[in-house]
Amino acid sequence: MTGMKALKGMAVVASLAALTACGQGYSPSADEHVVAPKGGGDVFNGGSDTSNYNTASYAVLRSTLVDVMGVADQTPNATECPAAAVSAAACPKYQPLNYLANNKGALGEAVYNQADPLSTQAPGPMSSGGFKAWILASSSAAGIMMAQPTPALFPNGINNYDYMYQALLGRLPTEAEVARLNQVEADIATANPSLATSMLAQRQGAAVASSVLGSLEFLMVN
Amino acid sequence: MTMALKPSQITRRNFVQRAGLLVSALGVGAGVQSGLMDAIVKKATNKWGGEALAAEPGAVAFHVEILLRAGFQMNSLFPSDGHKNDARNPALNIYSSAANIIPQNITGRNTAAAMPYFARYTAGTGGDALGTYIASKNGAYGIATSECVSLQNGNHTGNFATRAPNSNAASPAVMHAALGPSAPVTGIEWNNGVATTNQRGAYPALAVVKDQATMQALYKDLPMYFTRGELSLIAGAFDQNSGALTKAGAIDDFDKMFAAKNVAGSTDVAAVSVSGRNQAQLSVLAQLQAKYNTITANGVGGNFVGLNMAMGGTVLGQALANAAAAFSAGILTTFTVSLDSSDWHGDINPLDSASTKQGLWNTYVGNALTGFLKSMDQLTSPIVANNTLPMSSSFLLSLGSEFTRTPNRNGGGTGGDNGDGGNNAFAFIGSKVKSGAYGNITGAGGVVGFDPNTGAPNVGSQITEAMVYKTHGSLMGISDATLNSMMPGTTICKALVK
Repeated sequence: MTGMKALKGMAVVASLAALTACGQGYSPSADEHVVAPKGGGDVFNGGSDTSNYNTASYAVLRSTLVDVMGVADQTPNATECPAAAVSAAACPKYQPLNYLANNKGALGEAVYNQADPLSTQAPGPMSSGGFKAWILASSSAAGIMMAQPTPALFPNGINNYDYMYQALLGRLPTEAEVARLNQVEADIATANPSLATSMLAQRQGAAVASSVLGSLEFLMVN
Repeated sequence: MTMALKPSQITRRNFVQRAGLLVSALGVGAGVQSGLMDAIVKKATNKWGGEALAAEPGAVAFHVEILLRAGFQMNSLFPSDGHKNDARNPALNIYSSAANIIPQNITGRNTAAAMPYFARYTAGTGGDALGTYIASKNGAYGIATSECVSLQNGNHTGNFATRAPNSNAASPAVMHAALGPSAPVTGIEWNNGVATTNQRGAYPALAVVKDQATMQALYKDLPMYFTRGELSLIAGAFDQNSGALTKAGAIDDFDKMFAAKNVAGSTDVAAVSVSGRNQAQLSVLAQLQAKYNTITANGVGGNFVGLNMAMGGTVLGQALANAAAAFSAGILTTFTVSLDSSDWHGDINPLDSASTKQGLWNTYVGNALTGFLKSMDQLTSPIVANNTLPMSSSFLLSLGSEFTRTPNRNGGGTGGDNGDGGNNAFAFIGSKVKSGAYGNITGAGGVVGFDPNTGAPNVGSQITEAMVYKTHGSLMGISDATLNSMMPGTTICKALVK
């Protein structure tokens, strides 16, 4: 076998030498008969792939809920979410991940796994429908997070926003942002005058987290 | 074997389909295939737009079918020219006098055909009101009627041959729900137990409801953690009708701070954010109810005379009002409602009697249709030119049954049996409809067809139920190419199509 390989190598060298000897440079180019999409006019020549803006991908958004906030889908309350709503992934309050996955096309994720092969969705930025889905999913996930003994984004209590900002935005909050988040908590308290302290704290924490999760900065820097 | 396409025939749909086949044939790994398809679909979207690949671009925005069992006598509403103008044989199966068959010379009608006729049982109401109202629109939309359609057979069935000429054909409503504009719910069948069928063919079924409560339940708001009031503190408060931000929420304030950093594209994302946050708080059900209340004067009448009148167990006015409201809210595009008028054998009634079966159904259906058309003229929809045109600029409404009964009563002499079978009928009202009473039932009970291209009466021309099906598709704005692929070799009655 070694002898055969040596013979082949000699043949290649000889061929190249012959080409060079003929004064013809070696200029590799595409074989004209390689299978490739045909037609379509100027589809492959015109248009730009770049979009006007970029937003966090579905994978990043989902990871934020699951890995950063420690949230998983819950067993739904049957009155609020009948079986039909659950099977249609239309119950963000209890199953934000399922709901988010069901709307990932609107979040910019390419969708190919449709029963109708023509129902593809091109990858792209988040649409307004996707924004709606994210607001509902992330705020509901924040509610689920706050029901945990130690909410993942508030290891030091709901009045300390540092960890949340570092986890979601990679920086500390400014004074103006702290003041605005304090106002969010005050507004939630005003809206729930009769709520027990512990329950109120959950809603305040969820509101603060939702405010940051729904912000342009979070969606554009991640 | 796949045929080659000329450049003019290439659409986003077939381009991506064939590109996908070629990419698959490359034999490269799944990841590479996916990346290639990403680029291909992105470019195709740039070129041909981002609409759903399966949509028919020319489809009318809204489509309504009224399905009437069991062999509805269509000339209770829409008589033929012979009923009006010919000497009548004693057994002629018509229950309106010539004087109470009212022609309407609707602007833009097909002059090769007769003027559309409307039976008048009570002046100013029912079918009479309908004809007067359509005529007052000066051709903004048309009405085409006929009782000359040849039957495949004269049997009772809930699967009308004009809607399903073979076992593979999708009924027009199912077809429109699949190929028309998208909406949160594309198609609804309102049926409280009437034996009608919406044959699916290759498309998904319609959502079935039985009354207003079950229809509105389809649009119930999604369960979420925050109350609407709390969410507005976070995401801003919006005007429910215009979508304008009325009070900034925390997200707006944070976004304003971020905007000062001039990150590329942030202005565009901000606009998407406002729209999305509005949608997150939009109560679709409240919108639907608000539209319904607008057109029915809070559920007591409004555009609809006899709004809450029921016949055959169905409240047609309420059903059509809910349909118009949902169309206007942009949450529905296709609607069918099934009515049971039972059999008609013994309904041999005096002429022009408003209190007998023909008169009662004339009043009931005519009033509901008039209310529906008024609502379609009054309201706009985001689905039609983004709320800049009335919904009536893009719609089709049809009435159909398994047959329309014999032209003459059976039984000899004056006839004692309003017989099954006979012919079939069509009635189309819509933005693509060219008005006319096509074909004819003569005073002797003879059946006259019409030329499908010109609309002129033609004794030798047979209009089949399959032709009516395909014409229905054309009046919905489905392309000839799609219709021909479904039913090759069947003629479309282009005479009816604007």
